[in-house]
Amino acid sequence: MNSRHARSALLVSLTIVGLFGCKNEQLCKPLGACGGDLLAGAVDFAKKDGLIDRSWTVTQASEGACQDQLQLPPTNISLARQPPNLSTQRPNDPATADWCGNLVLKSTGEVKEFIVYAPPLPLKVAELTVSADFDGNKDRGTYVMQTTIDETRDLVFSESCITAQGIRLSCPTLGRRLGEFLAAEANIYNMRCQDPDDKTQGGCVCKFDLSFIGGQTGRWAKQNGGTQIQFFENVSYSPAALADYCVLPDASQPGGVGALDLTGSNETPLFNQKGLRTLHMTPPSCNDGVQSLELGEEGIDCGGGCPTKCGTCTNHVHDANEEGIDCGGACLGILCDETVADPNQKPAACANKKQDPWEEGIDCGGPCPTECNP
Amino acid sequence: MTTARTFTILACVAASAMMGSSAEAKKKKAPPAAAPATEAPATEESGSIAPGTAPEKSSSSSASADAPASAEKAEKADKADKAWDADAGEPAKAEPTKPALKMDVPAPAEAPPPVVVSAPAPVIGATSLRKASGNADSPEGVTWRASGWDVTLYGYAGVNIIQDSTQSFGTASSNTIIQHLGTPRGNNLQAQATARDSRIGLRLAPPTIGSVRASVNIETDFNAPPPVEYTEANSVTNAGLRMRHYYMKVETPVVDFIAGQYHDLFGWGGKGFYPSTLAFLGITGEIYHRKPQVRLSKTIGTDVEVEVAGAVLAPVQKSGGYPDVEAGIRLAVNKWTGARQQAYGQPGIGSAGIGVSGIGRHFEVSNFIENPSTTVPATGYGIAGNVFIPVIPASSAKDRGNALSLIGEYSIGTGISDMYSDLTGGLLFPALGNPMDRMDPTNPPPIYSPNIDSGIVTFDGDRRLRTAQWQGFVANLQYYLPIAGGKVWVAATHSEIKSNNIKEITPLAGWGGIYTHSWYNDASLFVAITDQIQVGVAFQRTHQWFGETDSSGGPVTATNYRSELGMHMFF
Repeated sequence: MNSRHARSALLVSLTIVGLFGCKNEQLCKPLGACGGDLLAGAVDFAKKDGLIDRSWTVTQASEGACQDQLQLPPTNISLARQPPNLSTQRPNDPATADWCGNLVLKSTGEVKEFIVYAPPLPLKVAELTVSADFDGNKDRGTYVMQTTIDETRDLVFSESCITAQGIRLSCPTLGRRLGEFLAAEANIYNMRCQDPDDKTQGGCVCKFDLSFIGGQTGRWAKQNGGTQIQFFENVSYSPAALADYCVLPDASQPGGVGALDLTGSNETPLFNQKGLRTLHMTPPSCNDGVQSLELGEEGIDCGGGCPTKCGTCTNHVHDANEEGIDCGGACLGILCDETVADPNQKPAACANKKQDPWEEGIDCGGPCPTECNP
Repeated sequence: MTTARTFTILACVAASAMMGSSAEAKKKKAPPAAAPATEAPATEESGSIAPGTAPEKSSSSSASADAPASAEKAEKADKADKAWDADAGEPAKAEPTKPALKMDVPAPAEAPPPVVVSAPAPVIGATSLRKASGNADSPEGVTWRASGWDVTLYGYAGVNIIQDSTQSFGTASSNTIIQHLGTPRGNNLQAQATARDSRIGLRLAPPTIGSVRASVNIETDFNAPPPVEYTEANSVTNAGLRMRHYYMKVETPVVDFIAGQYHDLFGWGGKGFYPSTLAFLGITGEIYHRKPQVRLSKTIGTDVEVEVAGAVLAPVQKSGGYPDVEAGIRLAVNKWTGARQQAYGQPGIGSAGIGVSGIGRHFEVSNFIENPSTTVPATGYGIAGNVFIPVIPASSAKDRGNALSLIGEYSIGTGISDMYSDLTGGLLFPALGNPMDRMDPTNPPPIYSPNIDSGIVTFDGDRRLRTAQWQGFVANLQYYLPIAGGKVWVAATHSEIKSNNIKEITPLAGWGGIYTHSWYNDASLFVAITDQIQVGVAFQRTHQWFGETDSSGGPVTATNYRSELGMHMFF
C-alpha cells in the first residue's frame, strides 16, 4: 500500500486514541464553587450567645446528597490477626468474609461474639449549622454537622453456622440473643430473625436497622478568596476537609440566602465521610424531614415554629413523623406491622396481637421488649 | 484529558519515527512479495495469574519452496491455506528460493529493480536460507535447512502503548476486576507501554520417515511474572522469558499426536477461532488457555474436513489426582474461505469452520476446617462452541479487500474459570468460623489453606463445596476495506461473561468484591504498512456489575475505557 494511505490511516488512528483517552466521569458531578456570604442576614438562634447562625438541611428524599458506590468488602479479621509470615513462607491465601459473621455462642445460648458488617450507608438527613466567630468575624467560626444515616440490612445464617457450636437456637431466639448482644451498639435496632421461606434449607434469615445519628463539630474558615471552606473537626484526628461552596440566592426573597452547594475539593470526601462527595442543602422548613434547630422544632417537622404539634410514641395516634401508630420513623426501635398497608391502621408489630415470624410468642420475644413466659 | 493529549503526542512522535524508518526500509528492500497467506501468531499478554495464548500458526511445520511436498503440510490446519493457494493460482512451490534472510515488502510502483542480497552463511551449516512456512509467500518465519532438518525461526517484535481510565488492569484487561469510582485507583488514569509480548519461536522438522512426519515447536515471549521484589521499571524493561508453546508433533496416516504444552482443545485454541483485536488475548469471556497435554487427533476429508480430537491435560489442581480431559470435533469447509486475523497477528485466509469441544475435570479440595486431613470431591465440566463464518469470502490473502468475516464463541461450564484469562470474578474462599473466639496473635484465628487456586470452587454457608458457574460469549466482526487489497481493516468485538451463582456462594459481606457480569466492547483499526509491519489502534470498554447494591438500590457498576496503539514487525 502506498505511504500516503498509510499515513492517512495512521493519523486517523492516532486521532481516535487522542479523542477517547480520557478519565472516567465521576459519579457525583461537582456543584458550583461561586463562594458567597454564608451568614448574610443571619440571626442568632443556636446558642443565644450573640453570634449569628445559619443552617441548611438535606434529605435522602430530596436527593441532595451524592455518594460514591463504595460497597467494598470488609477487611478479613481472621487474616488481619495472623502473625507475620516468614520471608520464605508462602503468604496466606486471601479470603472473603466468614459466612457466620464470626458468631460465637456461649453454652447458655447467649451470643459471645458477632461482627456486624456495616458498609458506607446512604445519608438519610443532615443539618449543617454555621456560626460566626467569637469576634463576630463572618469569614470563619464554628459549625455543627448533624447527620442521620440508616438502612435495613440483611443477614443470612446457614444451618451449619447455627449448629456449629452444639446449640440450635430457634430463629426468633437467635434474633433476640443477637439483639441483646448488640444492645450496647446504639446504632443497631430491631434485630430479628425468622425461618427462611423454604424451611428445608435450614438456617435463619435476619434483618436489622442500622442507624447512625451523630455529627461533627468544629471550626470553619473561608479559603482561596472565598470559594472554599476548610472544615476542622474538634474531636477526631481527621485531617481538615476542604470543600468548594456556593451560596445560591433565594429566588423568593430578593437579597435572601437560598441553598448551599458543597463539593469536596479535589475529589476528597465532604466532612471526611467516606464516599460523600456533594451536598445540595436548602434552608430548613417544616416539611423537610429534619428536626431543625433554626426553626426550633421539638421533633421532626413539628413543634417550635412549625404548625404541627409533636406527638409521642405512646399516644396511640399515627403522628406525622411516624410510619404507623407509634412505630417507625421517629419511634426508633419500634417495628411496625408491615402486613398492614394503611399508616393510620398500622400497629406496632409487637402490639398487633399475633405471632409474627420473628417473635417467640404472641407479641413477645424476638425483637419485642416483652419476654415470653417460659 | 491533558494527560491523554500528551500521550497522543508521544504516540504520534513514535509513529512518525516508525513510518519514516519504514519508508526508508522500503527503498532498500527487495522486490514485492506475495501477501501474507497464513495467520501469524495470535497475540496475548497475560497478567501474572493466568498465562495463555496461542499462535494460530505456531503449530505449522516449516516447508520451503524446494522442500519435499510432505514437509509443506506439517499441520492439517494448514490445508485450507494450501487450498486457497491453489485456487488463486499461486502454487506454493513455484517461488524460487530466496537466498537472503530479510523481509520482502511490496515496493512502490516507482521502485528500482529488485536487488537480491546474498545470504550470510547459516550458522548451522545450512544449505539454503529463505522465507518459509507452509506457503512460499507467507511472511511467517525464515527457514533454512540444517543437517537435513527444516529450521524455522518466527515471531515478532513490537510495542503496545495503552492508556486506561482506571488503574485496574495490567497490560491485558482480560477478566480482571475494575476498581470502583471513588477510590484512587478507580478515579485516575494509567499509561503503560510494553514490549513484553514480543515473541520468538523455533520450529524444527527432521526428514520424514515414510509417511510419518515429526516436528518440534518451541515458542516464548517475555511475559514471565516478575518477582515481587521487582520495581515497576524493572518489570517493564527486564522481562523474563515465558514458556508459551513447547511441544512435539507426530503425524501419521493413522492418527496425529501432540505431546507438550499447547493450546487447550477446549475452545479449539489455535484453530482460527480467536477474535481480531488489538487487545491482548484472552479478552473477557473468551476461552484462552494452554497446558501440557497429550493429544490424539484424526482429520479426514479434503473439501470438507472433519477433525476429531481427544486430549489428557495437566489438571488445574494436582491434588485432584486425575488429569483433565478434553475432546472436540471440528468441521471446516475448505472451499469457503475468508480473511481472518487472530488477535493482532497478520491476517491470512481461513476456512469456514465450526467446532464443538468439552472439558471434564475432578477436584479433591481440602475439607473446610483448620487442619484438614480429608478432601471433598467435586467435578468441573464445560462445553464450548466456536464458529468462523466468511460472510464476504476471500480466497487470497493478497487481495482480501471487501472481505467480511465473523468469529463467535459460546461457552458454559462450572469449575472452569481458569480457562478464561485471569478470571475469578472476585470469588475467594470464605474465612473459617472462629467459634473459640481466638483473636490473640499468639493464638490467632483459624485460617483455611486451600489446595486449589482461588476462583474455581469455594465453600457455601453450609460448608458444601461448590463450583463457580460461568458462561461466556464472544462475537467478532472483521472487515477488510477495499484499499490496497485490504491492507486497512477494522474489527469490532462484543464479549461478555456472567455467573449465575457467584453471589449465592459468596457471603453477603463480600458481595462488594465480586462481579456477576462483565461486558467488553472494542473497535480496532489496523494498517499493514508493509507485509511485515502492522500498526493498529483500538478503543476498548469494559463494564462490570458487582454483587452489592448502591445507596439507591441499583447495582454497583464500574467501567474502564482503554485506548491502545500497537506497532509490530513480524518475521
